[in-house]
Formats: sequence, structure tokens, C-alpha cells
Amino acid sequence: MATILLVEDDIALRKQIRFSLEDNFSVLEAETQKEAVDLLKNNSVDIIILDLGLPPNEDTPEEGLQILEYALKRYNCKMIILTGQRTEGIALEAIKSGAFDYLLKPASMDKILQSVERAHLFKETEDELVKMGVRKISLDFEMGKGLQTWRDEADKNIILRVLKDTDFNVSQSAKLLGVKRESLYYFLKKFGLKRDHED
Amino acid sequence: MKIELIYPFFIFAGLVIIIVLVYLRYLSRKTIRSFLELIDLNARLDFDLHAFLPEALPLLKKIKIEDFFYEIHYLDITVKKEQSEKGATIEKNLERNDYRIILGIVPRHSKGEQYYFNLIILEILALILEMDVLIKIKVIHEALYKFSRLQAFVLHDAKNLAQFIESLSYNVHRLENVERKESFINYLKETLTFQSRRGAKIISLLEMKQDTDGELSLEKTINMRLLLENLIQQYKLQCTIEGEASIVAEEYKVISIFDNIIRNIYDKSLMEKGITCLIEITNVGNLIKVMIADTGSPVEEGARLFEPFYSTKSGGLGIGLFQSKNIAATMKGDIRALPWESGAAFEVVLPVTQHM
Repeated sequence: MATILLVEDDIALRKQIRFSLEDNFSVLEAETQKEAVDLLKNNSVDIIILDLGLPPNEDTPEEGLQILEYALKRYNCKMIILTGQRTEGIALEAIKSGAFDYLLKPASMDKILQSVERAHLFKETEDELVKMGVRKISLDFEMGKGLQTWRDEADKNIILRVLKDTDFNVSQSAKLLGVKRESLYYFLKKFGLKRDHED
Repeated sequence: MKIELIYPFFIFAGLVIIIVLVYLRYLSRKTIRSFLELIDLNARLDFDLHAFLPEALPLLKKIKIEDFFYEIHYLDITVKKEQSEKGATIEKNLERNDYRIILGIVPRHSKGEQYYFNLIILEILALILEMDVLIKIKVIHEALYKFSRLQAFVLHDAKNLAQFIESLSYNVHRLENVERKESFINYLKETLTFQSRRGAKIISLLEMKQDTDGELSLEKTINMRLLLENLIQQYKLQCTIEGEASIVAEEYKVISIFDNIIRNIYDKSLMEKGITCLIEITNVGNLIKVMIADTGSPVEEGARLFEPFYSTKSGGLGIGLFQSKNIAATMKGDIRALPWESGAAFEVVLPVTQHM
């Protein structure tokens, strides 16, 4: 059963969404950034439904965007934003950071559940592909910066993805990437890639 | 030539100088008095440009200005008056980023010293108009800013409430078996206190500054210790509560007052680890006093704490404590920040009953 982390500070709403999901998914709940991060560290989460406005700054998207960045940088999960923060800038930032979907409150439950189903399907398919040795990466390209920048960005993302899959095991990652360990160390230094606790 | 012969000339010249000086003094005093009257008129009309302009002409006429005309543009608003009296004019054009003022006066005459007086009159009038325009722009910008913050405050809850209703109605139609029904009811029970707190917050905010005397009252006896224990439990705070007291009041108002204070401790506890709080409830005659203190960071700018839209939190709306103080005042009570060795402390004083 796939695991969903529901990050929402409104307990009444959180319980209702939980109720509609818990038949088909294992649901974890968090109402602050800290609770969300703790749950992510200790559980394997497939999908996150994230409210951006969380305490202590529930009227700004800061807390939610920090969770978004934290989770997508470290875990292979799908992120669905469910928020009342209606500005193009926030939506753009969330999608740029890698959010799977962006839903505005109040959204119909059908819409939320469809989004969850789609995210689940994508996650399952990607996991299958991973088993077959195929990694899917997404890149944001800014036009007009030259091909080298794009190549570097692609290299960085591929290496980061494999490192995450191997829990930063350099030998194993080098093997999976088909490069020498020395070359991988060179790239780690070049892109400034470190393990979480080394940040 | 005898020196005595030129004495009359000196006397005459002296007299002329005295007369000129007296005249200039009279003119200056008259003009300055009119300036003060103009400034006073503007203040009496609350620096309202639209009210000031039609009233200014009679005062200007006293200082020999037959007419004045203007074209003022600010915030997509245009105020305009054409020249109605014929004659020579003196004009001034002020062009800034946010506004534009074209101002002209039609003096009765512009000869000699009057020309310079006319220039001063034009400058003073332009200054008054510029000040009014700036005040108008500032007031409108501030009102819009405050309105948008207030809107954000209500919208956050309103959107969550709308989403809650949407989810609730979806789930109600999908209670297939007894187990699901039980689980659904348990979830609702679990969140009832939260819903009541949210309702209290919205109603209190919308009712702010309104005198509800004479309206249907929902007063009841409230056990303060129980109410505070519930709030502390909802925010999962480490808190010691001492004392006990009851009051007769509308519960949603009392919840709002204390929710805002306890919520601040909760917000602080998310940033500062290990914060604990202490609550002391005492009964003093016809009043109850509730002291709420925490071990977090101390209060900065204590005097501004209850100022609306003032917040030390980035992105904070600065409505909570203002709202609490406001509700307490409508209940003939008060809230104040107390000097505290470590952390922040507040004292809430409320009458035991509203009918004394």
C-alpha cells in the first residue's frame, strides 16, 4: 500500500482528507514543517499532499515551500500542493521546484483524488523503470545559456538521483553510472554535492 | 547752503519710510493671517482636498487673489477647476511619480511688492495641496494594504472551511459500513473543539469594534481552567495551570481572547525549542485575572504589541493581540503585557459577569 503524507495545519480538514484516502493508502499526518520532516526521515513516503501556509507563518507560503524543497531534494516522492495561496509566483515556484500538481482550495474531492491516483501511477511506473535500470530526471532549462550549462545541469541531476538511490554510496553509484570512482568524486566536487548531514 | 534747509527733506523721507514700513507690516500680517486661516481651514476639513478647494477662494480674496484654478491628478483621480476670472495669472506645475499638480492664481494686481506676495501665496497654496494629495495617497495605500491583510487573515480560514465542507460532503456519501461510519464520527468528534475555536475567531474578527449590547446574548458560565486546559491541549504545549475561576460571558469571545495569546506561544515554540508556559487564574472581587507567561524570547516593543497590523513575525498579520484587546474592551475588561524576567507575559482582566 502506498504511503501518503498529509501536511495540513487545519486538523478538521486534515481528518476529512485522511478519511477519504485511508481506504486505499496508508496515511501519515503532519501539521508543521518539523513534523513533516521527522515523518519523511522515518518513513518511506510515496506522495505528499502539502498545504503551503503552515504555522508559524500560515499566511505566507514559506513553510510549505521549504518542505517542498527539502522533500524533493532528498526523496523520490510525488508532491501535490493543496493550498489557499493564490498567486502565480508561488505556483510557478512550486512547479519549478518539481511539484507534481498544484490545486487551489477549495478543490473538489474528485479532483484531489484523481490527482493522487495520477501521482500514484507515475510513482509506481517510475519505480518499475528504476528496477529496469531506467532513471527519469526532470530539468529546468533557461534558454540562451549555452549547451554546456544544460549538460552540467543534466549531469548533476543524474548523479544526484543515483546517489540518492544508493544512499550516497559512491562505489555503488559509480558502478550504476558506469564511471570510475575518481570521476564521480570529481563531479561531486564540481557540483558541490554532499550528503544531507554534511550540509 | 544752510544745513537746516535739508531737515524737512530728512523728515519727509523718514515719514515716507515709516509709512512704507507700516504698510508692508500691515500687508505681511494680513497675508500671514490669511495663510494661517488657509492652513487651519485645511486641518478643520481633515486635509481633504475635495472639501478644502471650494472653501479656499473666499480666504484668498482677502489677500487680493481674485481667482485660482487647478488640475490635480493622483491615483487615477482628477480634480479640475478652470480659470473663471479674467486677468494675468501666475502658475506653478508640480510633477512627481505618483501625482501631478497644476496650480494658478489670478491676482488683483501684481505691481511692486504685491508681485512677491503673490509668489509666496502661490507657493503656500501649492504646499497645502501637495500635502493633502500626499496624505490622500498614503491613507488610501494604507487602507488597501490593511484591507488585503485582513482579507488574507479571513480567507485562510474561509478557504479551509470551504475545503472542509467539500471533503465532508464527499465523505458523507461514502459511509459504506458501520466501521467507516464510526471512524467518520470519531474524526468529527476529534475536531469539534478546533471547529468551535475557528468559528469564534472568525465571528470575533467580523464583530470587532461593534457594540453588541441589546443583541441576543449567548452568555453561559465558563470554567476558565477547563477552557484554558483545552486550548493548551490543542496546541500541544507544556503548561502549568494554577488556580480556578468561572465567568459568565459569551464563550466564543473568551476563546478568541485566549486563543490569540496562546497561539503566539505555540508559534514561538515552533521556532524556539523547549518553551513552557505558566497560567495563573485568580479571582479578585468582581474580576478574574489570568496571567499567561512563557519561557520563550522576550517581548520586543511592548508598547506596539496591541497596535493593529503590527507584527514581529515575518509575514505576520498583527491582528491577534489587537483583536484580543478589542474583545476584552467590549467585555469591560483589559489585556496588558507584564514585565517578565524571561519570556513574555500577559495579564487578562475580565469581569465575572457582564451585568454589574
